Parts: sequence; C-alpha cells; structure tokens
Amino acid sequence: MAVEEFDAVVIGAGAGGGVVAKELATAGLRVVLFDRGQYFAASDFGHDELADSQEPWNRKGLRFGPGPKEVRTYRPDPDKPARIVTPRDWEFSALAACVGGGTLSYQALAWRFHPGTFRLRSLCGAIPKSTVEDYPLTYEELEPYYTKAEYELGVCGEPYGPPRSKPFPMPPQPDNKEAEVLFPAARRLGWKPFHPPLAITSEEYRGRPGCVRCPNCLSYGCEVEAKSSTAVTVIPGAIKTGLCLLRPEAFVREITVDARGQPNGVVYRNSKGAWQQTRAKLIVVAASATETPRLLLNSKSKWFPAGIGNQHDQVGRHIHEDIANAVFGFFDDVVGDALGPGPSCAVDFQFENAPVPGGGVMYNSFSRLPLRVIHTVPRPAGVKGWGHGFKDFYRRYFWRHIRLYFSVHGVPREGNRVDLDPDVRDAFGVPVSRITHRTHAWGAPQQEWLAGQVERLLREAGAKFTVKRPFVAERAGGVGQHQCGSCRMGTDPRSSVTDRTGRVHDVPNVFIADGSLMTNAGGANPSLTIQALAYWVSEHIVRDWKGGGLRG
Amino acid sequence: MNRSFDNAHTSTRRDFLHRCAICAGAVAWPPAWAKLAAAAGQHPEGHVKAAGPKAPLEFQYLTPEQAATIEAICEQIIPADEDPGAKWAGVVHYIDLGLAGDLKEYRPVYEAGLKRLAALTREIGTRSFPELDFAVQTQILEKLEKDELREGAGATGREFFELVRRHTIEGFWGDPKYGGNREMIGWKILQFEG
Repeated sequence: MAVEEFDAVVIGAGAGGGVVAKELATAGLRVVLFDRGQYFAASDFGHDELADSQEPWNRKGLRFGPGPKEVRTYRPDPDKPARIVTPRDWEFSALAACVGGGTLSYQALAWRFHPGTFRLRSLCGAIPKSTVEDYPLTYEELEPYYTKAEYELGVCGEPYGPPRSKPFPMPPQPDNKEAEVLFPAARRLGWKPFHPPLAITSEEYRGRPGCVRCPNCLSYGCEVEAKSSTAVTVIPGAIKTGLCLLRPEAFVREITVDARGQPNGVVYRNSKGAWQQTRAKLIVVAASATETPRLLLNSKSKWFPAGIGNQHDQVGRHIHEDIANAVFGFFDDVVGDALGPGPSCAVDFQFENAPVPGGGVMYNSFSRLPLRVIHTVPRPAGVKGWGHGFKDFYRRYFWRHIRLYFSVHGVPREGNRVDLDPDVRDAFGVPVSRITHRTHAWGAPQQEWLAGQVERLLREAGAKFTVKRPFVAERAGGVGQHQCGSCRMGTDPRSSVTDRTGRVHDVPNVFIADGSLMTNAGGANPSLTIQALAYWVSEHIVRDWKGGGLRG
Repeated sequence: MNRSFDNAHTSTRRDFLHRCAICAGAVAWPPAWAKLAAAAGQHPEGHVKAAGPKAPLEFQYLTPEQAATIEAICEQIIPADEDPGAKWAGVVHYIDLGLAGDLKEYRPVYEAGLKRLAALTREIGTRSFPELDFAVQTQILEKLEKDELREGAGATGREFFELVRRHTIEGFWGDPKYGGNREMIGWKILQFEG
C-alpha cells in the first residue's frame, strides 16, 4: 500500500495545533491533524464530579486523558533517581490528551501577557541559577496575533493593562455574587479591578450560544459549546475547508527522515493499534511542553543522533511555569452563588503595578462544587480533616468563602528538563518523558507580596479570617498545566531550539507551535499566548509556502 | 425527632431504618435541608414518603463485620449532628460497591488497614471497633491517622485512614448513583442543588 502524503502534518490538536491546522488548511495546504486522545462531542459531557471531571478524584482517571495506564518518570534534581508516576500524580506534570487539549476543560482565562514579560531578562537582570531569556519578539509584534486569537476563538472581557488595537469581541460575563463583594472592596483600596478575560462566550458568537452559567466549568467539557476550546472553534473550521483530516486516537511516535536527512513524515499508531506512516512536506509539533520534547528526542537517526533539534542539547531544557497560589477568605455572610463560569474580578499587579520584579495577577476562581470545595479549600489551624468540626466547617462556609488565586512570573531553573527516561517505556515500547523539576526561588518574594495584597482585599471585602496554602520556595514536584519553555524560541541556537518564527534551528521544515516555544511563562495563564504564537508561526509557514519554500 | 441523628452511630443501620419507617414524616428532616425545601416552596412530607421504609442493602464485597467497622469509621469522619452523617447517607455502600467495581484497586489497602485497626483496637480491650463508644473510637482513629506500621507489605494505618477519609467524602458528597449520598443528603446540608 502506498504511504499517504500530505503537505503538512500537525501533531497535537490542542491550543496551538488546532490553530495551525486551520491556518494552513485555509491557505490551501493539505493537512493531517493528529491527536493521541479522543474527539469528544458535547453529548459526552456531564456534571458528575466522580466521572466527568479532569480532577484527580475522578474514579476512572482523568476524563480527558491521558489514560490511567500512561506513565512518566519524575525526579526533583538531576542527581536523584527518577520514579514512575501516573497521570493522577502531581509529579506526572498535567496535560490533557484529547482533541482540544487543555482548552476543552480549562477555566478559559485568556490573558494577554504584559509587554514586560517579553523582556523579563532585560528588565530584571540575570537571575542566579536561572536560564531565563527575553522573548525574541516583542509584545508589539505579537499584538495583532493576540487580536486574531481573541476574535477567532471568541474571548469576552474588558480592557486592562496591555495596549490593544481592537476591543474585545464580546463584553464580560455578567457579575456573580463574588464580583458584587470584591469590586467595591478593591476600589476602596484604590485599585482598578476588572472582569478577567475569558475564552467563553458571553453572548451568541459565530453560531455558538452564550454561556448558560452552569457551575461545571473548570475541568469539565462544555455541553453548550460556550467554552471557546479549539475543539469547537478552529478545528471544525479547519475541517470545513475540506483540506484538513483530523485523526484522533492516533499517537505519533517519531518524525521520519529521508535519505538526505530531511524530515519527511511521521510514524503513528492508529486507533486500532497498528503502526503506520504518513509523509508530509512540513511538520508542526504542538504536543505540549512535556510531550513535544519527547517526540523530538525519540526522532533519532544518523542525521539526528541526539534527536531532531537537539544538536546543542537544548530540547527539553528550561521547562517551567508561572507560580500560582491562592488565599481563601471566610465570611460571616453568604458571598457566593451557584453561577459559572466563576472568575469575575481581577486585579493586575504586573511590572509597573508592583514593587516586586515582574509581579503577577489576582482573580477569584472556581465555581462551587461539593467535592472540589471539600478536597481543595483548606481549613484554619485547629479544624481537623474529619469529625464534627470538619463537617461543620464546610457546611458553614460552603457559600461563605472566596478563593482568590494569584500567579507571579516563574523562571526556568538550571537542571530542570524533560528528556527520555533511559529505562522506562510505555505500553507500546516508546521511551517516556522523564521530568526533572523543582521551582526556582526567584518568584518567592513576589508570591509573598502578592499574597499579602490578596489578603488585604479579602479583609476589605469583609473576611473574618483567611487561610493560605503552605508555600515552599524551591518546591519539588511536577510542572503543571501551564508548562512551557522546553523547546524555546531564540536567536542563539546554543540556548534555544527554534528561531523567532518557531522553525527548528537548522531544520527548515519542522516547526513548533505550543507552550514549548515560550521563553517565559508570564505572570498569568498562558493559553492565549500559545494561540497568538501559533498564529504567528502559521503566518510564517504560509508566507514561506506561498513563496515556493517548504515544498520539498 | 432530630435528636435521633445524634444517636444514629450507636444503633445499627437496620434499627435506624426501622425507626425511620415508624416515624415516617418527621425523622428525615434535617434543618438545613428543611429550610432549603421551604425556601423552594416544597412540602417536606412529600419527600419523606418517597423515601419510605427500605430493606437493608446487601453488601457486594465487604463481609458484614468489615462493613460494620468501615461504617463506624465513616461516621467518625462525617458524624451525625443536627444533620445526618455518613452512616445515614449510606457511605459504607458507596465504599462496598466501589470495592466491588471501579475502586477495586484499593482492596489491598482496605484489607491491610482493617488489620492495623484491629491491632490498635485490641490494645485497649476485647470489644470490636464498632462496639466501642464514639469517644473511644475517636481516640483509636487519632492513633490510626498517625500509624506508620503496616501489615506485611500492605498499606500503613495512616494510608488506610487517609483513603477511607477520601472515600467517605466522595460517598457523602459525590453523586448518589454510586450508592452513597442517600437522598442527596450531602448536597442538601450544603444547600447545593446538584
């Protein structure tokens, strides 16, 4: 049987890959879009905390993958032995494996990064034990792509910090009870609160209905398709061109190379378990910051003995994320309601708005679901985790607490890396990702300062007491959903994997289009930046293609 | 009649259900739940009749002795007060059905943990755990919660307790279709409408 041929293969149908597939297919390229996970329909979603969520207390494992039999290994430092971890373990380093990727079940916070984030190294100086670099592009260069992402995906909100060329395509969600409590308190402190940007419809938008405000939002699929995941926006758009084939439940093992050393396709396992080949003129990897390095490193040949893009031993290094934490305020009066999506009041404390380097943002988050509240809302000292006091605490405070999240810039720590475990293979014999990670201490004072501001806001809003999660400066553990930086863009091939357009150094037809590219995780949730970068990368691919390049 | 919930941990489930049947109409109305229903303009009695007398459920995996012990632990974790606790909510059935199905991977933890609990219980006398006074049970579980010993290669007492705690929370506040959260009592006391 002849091997199938496409113009482009895109690996990973998440935040970045979905965007690239639509852009390339719209430009006339024949595209195949792979994802190792399922393609869910709205009818697959439900409200059962024990069965329909992407939470560790789901009885059957994470609803949107990876499956419970997947493994990785983890170690906190390069000189420690690695141990096997599964998707429910924090050390696994969360990702979702399905069409839509994390955007199917995320909270949909759709921040633009602060202009300063792109120049973090220049603004904050060299940081000991960190490999942080500036982005090789500026906010101003990326701005049109942020705008495009907001309109193509569908983001609601109101203007805040970063300058913008167009208004939000939709107004913010209507207030919930928490907003009514937090906005006046923040204003009394002299702050400028705003409704956080959400990739969720607030009114009918391009054929999708407005959000119905159910509480099963974060970690659930949206039954009315109001959450602007790539699975209900750009991916159907790509398919509609007639030029994009979506291939779910197909795991790509490696990128193949022709006799001249040019990458020419991939090997994948189809949904029936057979290994197949696909040929393509160009390859875009968007499998997440912890799987993209695995694929590149598993693509070894005599031309690429250390894996594709790894000639300077850079693939998988610099993995990091923003540092997020929460403070919980407890009130005498009811301060919550049952309305989704949840986040309704934010304050921007980045750069010029903070006395600490980089700063971050704060926002209230999460709608109230019983198991999520009881498993994740901490109790004050003296209230133990069972017995009369335990029951009484959650009964009393279920509607009388506010969870204020905050995140500050994180920086990559020397020694952190995603590489291949030398011994452990998955069920199909493919070496798995080995995560070496602990957080860098640089974000500690920022976190301390912002936690103090969050506490002030909760007190001003009427909280009688607050509880902070324990905070560890150089915390051992996985890198979370905001993982990034592991195949970063840059101008120097000795400290980056791709050039500023996402093209792998010295490999003209392989591109990267996910969080791996980001040199810094920013002070807030990264998905809109991943998507803006995916538009940026796509435009460079299309320009090259139309100019006659990349055609083999 | 709400006081009966305070004593629920000292009687068997069969006794309790029997009393429910006798007092039909009054027993099953914990205050938070009643307030919620009243606010929604519902008449409480309709629900109670629907609840009706029930025969005790069979256990699918646990032996009756194991079930009695697990039920007593669950009731310690979420005890009855002015609202029903884990026992009334049928949390032991959540665990039993789980161990017979989706949660069967945890069987070894339960087996080893029940042995650790039995050992700690023997230290203070001859009565079995469910037969002990509520306050004595609490003291034993406070030991179990910190217990780092294990039976053979099994789980430690601490690991077992933490797992039962998690499963009790899930059985009390998770979806009723898994056998716990009877009549959505966990949700009703939070005034959560499902």
